[in-house]
Amino acid sequence: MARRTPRMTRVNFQILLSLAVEDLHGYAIKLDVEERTAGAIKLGSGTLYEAIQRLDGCGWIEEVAPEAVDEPRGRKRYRLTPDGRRTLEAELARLAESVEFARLHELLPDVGPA
Amino acid sequence: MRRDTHDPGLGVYRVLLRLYPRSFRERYGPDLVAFVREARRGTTPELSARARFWLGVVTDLIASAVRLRLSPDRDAQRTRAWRRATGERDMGVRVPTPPEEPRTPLGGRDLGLALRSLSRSPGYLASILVSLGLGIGTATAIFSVLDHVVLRPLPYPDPDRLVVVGARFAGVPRGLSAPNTADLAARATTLDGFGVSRIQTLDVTGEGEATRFTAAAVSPSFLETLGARTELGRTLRPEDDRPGMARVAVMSHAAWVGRWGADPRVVGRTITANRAPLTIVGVMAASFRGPEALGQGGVDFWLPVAFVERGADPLANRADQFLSVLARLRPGATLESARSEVDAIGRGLVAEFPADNAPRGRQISLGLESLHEATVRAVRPRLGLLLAAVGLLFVAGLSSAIYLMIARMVERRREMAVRRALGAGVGRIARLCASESILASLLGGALGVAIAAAEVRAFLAFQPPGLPRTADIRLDLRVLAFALAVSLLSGMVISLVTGARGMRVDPVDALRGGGRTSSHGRGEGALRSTLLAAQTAVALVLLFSGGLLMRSFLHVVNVPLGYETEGVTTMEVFVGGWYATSAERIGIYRDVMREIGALPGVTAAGVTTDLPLPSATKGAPIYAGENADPDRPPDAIAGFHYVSPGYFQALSMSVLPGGRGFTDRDVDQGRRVAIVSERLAELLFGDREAVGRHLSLAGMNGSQPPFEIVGVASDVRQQTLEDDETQDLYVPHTGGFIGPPLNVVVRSSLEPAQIVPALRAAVRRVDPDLPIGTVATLRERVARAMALPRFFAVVFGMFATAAAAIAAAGIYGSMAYAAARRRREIGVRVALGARPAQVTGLLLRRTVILTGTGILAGLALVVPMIGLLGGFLIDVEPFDPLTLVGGATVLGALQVIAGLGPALRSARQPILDTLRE
Repeated sequence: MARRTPRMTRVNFQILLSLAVEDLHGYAIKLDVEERTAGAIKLGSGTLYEAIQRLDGCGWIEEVAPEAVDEPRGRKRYRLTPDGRRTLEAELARLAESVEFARLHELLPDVGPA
Repeated sequence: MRRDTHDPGLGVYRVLLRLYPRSFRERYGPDLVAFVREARRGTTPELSARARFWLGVVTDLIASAVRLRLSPDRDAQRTRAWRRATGERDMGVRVPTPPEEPRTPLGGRDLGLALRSLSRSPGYLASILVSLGLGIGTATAIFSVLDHVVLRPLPYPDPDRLVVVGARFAGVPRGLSAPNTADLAARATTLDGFGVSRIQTLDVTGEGEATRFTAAAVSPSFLETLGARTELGRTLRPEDDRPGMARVAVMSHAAWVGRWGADPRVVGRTITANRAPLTIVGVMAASFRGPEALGQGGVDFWLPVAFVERGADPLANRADQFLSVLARLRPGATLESARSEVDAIGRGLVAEFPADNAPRGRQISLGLESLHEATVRAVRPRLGLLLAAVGLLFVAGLSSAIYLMIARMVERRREMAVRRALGAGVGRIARLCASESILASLLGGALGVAIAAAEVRAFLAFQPPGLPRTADIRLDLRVLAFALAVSLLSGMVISLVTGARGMRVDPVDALRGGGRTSSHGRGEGALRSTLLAAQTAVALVLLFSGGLLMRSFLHVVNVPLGYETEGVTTMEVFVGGWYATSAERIGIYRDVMREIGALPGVTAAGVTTDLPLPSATKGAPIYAGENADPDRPPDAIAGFHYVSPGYFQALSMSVLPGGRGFTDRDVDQGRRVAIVSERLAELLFGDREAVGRHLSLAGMNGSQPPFEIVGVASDVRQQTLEDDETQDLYVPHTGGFIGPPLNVVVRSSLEPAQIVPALRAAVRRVDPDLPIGTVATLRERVARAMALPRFFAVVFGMFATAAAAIAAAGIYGSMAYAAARRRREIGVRVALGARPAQVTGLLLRRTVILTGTGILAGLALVVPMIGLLGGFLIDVEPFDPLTLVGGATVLGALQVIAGLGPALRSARQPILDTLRE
């Protein structure tokens, strides 16, 4: 029963990226992704938690234990596991390679001041 | 969990969470709810924004639920492990888990099997498809109407932040004056992008036939706030909006294509409009349409507001509140904060300029509403009624489909039992049920789309008047996506219900029992009976509503008008204000009437200031006698009409003996004479003779000289079809009016195809530049007044028929199924000497009970329906026992007949076959 890895879909990638910076709960992840992609990716509740279940299922993220006893239900926060962080870094490295290639061959559009 | 007592939406969302697999729901349920609650806080409270939000939530839910259910659940297994680890109660499946099967998503193979399985019972399949098709199709058709008319954002940039600022004066809604608007724009911190608009007409001459167009005098900022783009040329600029400049205008795309043949040379051309030069500087893009809430639905020209035609220097007069005002909420401002600010500014303006803003002690008050709300407000009650009916029909269709699927499945118990005995896991059975349900639903949805296409076409043909944005209604991607979502939802509901049933089949019992053990399993029988009763109830409600609306419509069609419509044609002629003197206008009027009267085939011709149905005059307060006392309440309020002597003959209205009609001498000598309608005469003078007495009106400037009554005319339906309590007052038409068009009414023996061109030619002989408006037969005008009742009668008639058909099909299926189930019992009875009639009666008993229960349930549903219907009925009481009893009888008879077939057939079956089984 081999571990099946999900494809690095856009949604999965964005979620991992958000969690790389900070542990977040569901709605916060959605806001972060939406802001970072300038509204291109708007995550619905079902889509988000479906992805979270999948990412959790293959061990890339995990739930953070609630800090206070009386923390309200429905505010589970998530963080990257070491496995997840490694996977994200591998993906980012791949992307960086492509960007470098594009830069060398002057394919990059002018994205303005950083 | 905290209860959201104030938002029904969250409550519904919680229920819809049941669509998710159990493990997912238990683990993430609270988070999902918290997510949606937070997301909802980010939406504006506008109805359309909220509706769109929930639509997005439900769509996302359905899509992810389908994906989660159909996909491998290794993650779900981990979820179950998580649950056990966190110590929650393990709510594992009831049936022992079979050995791990290779789980793959529902694939082509499953669907292929499902298709073959479904086609083995074509009768069932056909009924299921028809039920689902009708339900889903009608829901889709209504959704497409709802989507385009209400849900979609208006086609302007940032449409949810556009607002209309209005004023109220003495309870009557009005516009704002230009100086008030300027001050408001300067002082408002929550709003910007202010623009003004005023609707007026442009009589264009010299470009082919003289025509009156609707135009909007707007500030350039108005067009900018709406993001208006031109296809050719440019839009209005602030430089254009100054009194000294040349008059320029932007043409609408529709006018450009329709009237100027899409000629690009029209830009820069100067045309004659309202007898003055007007230069066209641009043509609007095809997608731009002025906001209907501000009356710009049919606007063909936009010109600068500096050129608005309204007396002398209208933009300087603070007391003249005639402009519609559009604005946009600034970032960060809310509708409520803008509303209170506007109200406060309004009160400030009243205090600073009491003479203009608070004449005669009454004040104006400012308010605002979102542009979307203004557009949609009038439409909601009608759409509400339609939605209720569609919802019912969908429920009927879905419950019918569920019923048929269950019935079919129970018949296949043996097959199921064998599969189970041979080792098929619960999951496999569930998958089979799920794939069959979803496939059937998708097929039903496809049929539904075809039905929806036909229904949308019918809707556009029978359209009720007054719905905004209907031009866009079509089955586009969004609507098709809705159909798909509804189909999937239906499929999931069906699969949940049937799957639950399928798992309860005990293999041993089914294999052993064959037909002997009563398959009237308590739970199952109750569900089936409930479904059938539900269908009957829905059918009753729809039949009742349809019956009422149809009676209302027939009533309207047969209402006595008081005048003859046969052979009567009407024509609008616009004699505008550029004929400098009243004498000129009277001359034109007389020439037109002379030309028309001389036409062959014309038996009578007259003129009025407003045509009946609908009649536009406001009620004038009337006092009996020669003195109108403004401190006394008036003796009557009547519609006020200026008519020529030939008017009564043209409409074949009778003037009662003892009086007379108007003569040319009345007009020439300027006599103050009047003709009253019968009801008005009664109100003013009771039984006494009205002819010879006087009446007077309370004018705005004090009393005017009294009128002498010279005749009494029969009552007519002038104002609306519904109201027969109105009174009418007629005075001679002098022909010198500026505002109202000359509404010519002509009775002739000619066909419309002949009389219409003859009338146009007659007018053009007098003056080729007189614009002619609508030319229509009186028949057509009356028919248009009936458009709304006819629309509802037709639509509900169709719904009722569909629901009755669904219910009848349900009963038929139920009877066939019951007869099949009880074959042995019937065989035994017949062998023991029962006659066919007795057997039939035995089987029909169940039908009668079910039908009766359904009708009783339907009666309960009828009560809220009556509430919705009330406003649409004409001269028919909603609580009408006759229609109710009639509907129930028809339905009951239909059901019994439907059940009769299988019952009779089963009574006649050969005995030996059944006993041998």
